[in-house]
Amino acid sequence: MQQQSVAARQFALTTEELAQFHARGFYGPFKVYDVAEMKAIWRRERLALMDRSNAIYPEEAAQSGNTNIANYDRHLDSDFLAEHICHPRIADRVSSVLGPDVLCWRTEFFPKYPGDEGTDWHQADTFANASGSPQIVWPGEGVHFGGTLTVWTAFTRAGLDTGCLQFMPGTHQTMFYDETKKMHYDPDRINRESKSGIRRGFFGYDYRELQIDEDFEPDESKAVPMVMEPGEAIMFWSTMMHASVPHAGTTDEMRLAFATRYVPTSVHVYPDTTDIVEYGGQVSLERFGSVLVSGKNEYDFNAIATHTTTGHPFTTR
Amino acid sequence: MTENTAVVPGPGTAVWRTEETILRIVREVLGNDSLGAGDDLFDHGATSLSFVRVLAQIKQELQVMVHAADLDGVVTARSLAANVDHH
Repeated sequence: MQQQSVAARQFALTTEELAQFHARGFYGPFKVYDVAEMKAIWRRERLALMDRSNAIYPEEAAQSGNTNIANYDRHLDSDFLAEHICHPRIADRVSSVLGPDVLCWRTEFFPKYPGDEGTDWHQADTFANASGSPQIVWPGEGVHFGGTLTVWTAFTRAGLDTGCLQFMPGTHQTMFYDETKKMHYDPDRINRESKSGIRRGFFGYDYRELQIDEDFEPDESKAVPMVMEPGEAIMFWSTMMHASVPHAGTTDEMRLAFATRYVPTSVHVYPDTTDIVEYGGQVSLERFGSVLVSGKNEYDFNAIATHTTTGHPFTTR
Repeated sequence: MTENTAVVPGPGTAVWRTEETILRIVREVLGNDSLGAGDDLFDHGATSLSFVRVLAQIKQELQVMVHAADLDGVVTARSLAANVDHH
């Protein structure tokens, strides 16, 4: 009965769309906001988010290189982002894949400034890739073997010239990377390296260090670019090979994406973890909670946030 | 496109002088000599960090602290100048 109610939701994937998602590993792009609406929203929110007084992670000891993990999980203090992660156009589609009971366990910003390198090809299962500690652990039986369902929303235009995403469809069922291996952080390598002739990096890391086969080279001819307008989003398994093209630097326009990450409530989020230590920073999880965006949570092992730090309630579908 | 409805100040007026000062600051911080008074800073290479530096420089030179929330999303040299002159 619950599966039928998920399928009947306004923005649920059709049977055909779901089949295509399972084959390719992604769905979209799809519209969350009109272009003009997204531009107006972002014009307002880019300033509002500069006020970090209610953010759950303090800024100090979290900014390094081109990453600031203090800006993880700003949905826990921003009204707009709190609404965004629960947006019906997103939550209904996510539930189509994950089932009725869904948590949002992480959000993060992905800026690309003029001249920035593209992002390395990568897959993520437990998200132990940078920290060395699994951040999500699936139970033995689930709709997928691991990973998270990421919804990547273009808050500004994501074009071939500003660093759009690239996918390798159909690669979500097999891991080419081993997150139990160690990646070494060096912010000095940012914007300095090329792989297969393309300027790429992983925010101070080299994702190739996690390759199961050290000689593996992703076949760039299989890369499919995902050009998106402001307000469009795309949903994909983090276990699908994905990357981004460099920002060509031919425009002053920066590319900003906001990633929201979802798992079923049965997935253990941050098991045995009190701090996130990655990308040159460290933040405590003492104020963190996952958000129930759909259904019910019948497990007791995940911290849950029902409101933002300013009292704005999260909406559960 | 930026929805900028700020009035263009007449040359020589106090507002104009403020705008010229802020335009110089913005151009210096962003390293962009061609930036116009009505150009959105974030559409022309500004980051949150460089924007904070712009505000700090305005405070240092004009003794006014501009609050981002008061700009109503319009971030141009002109809107910054209008905000400064309202103080």
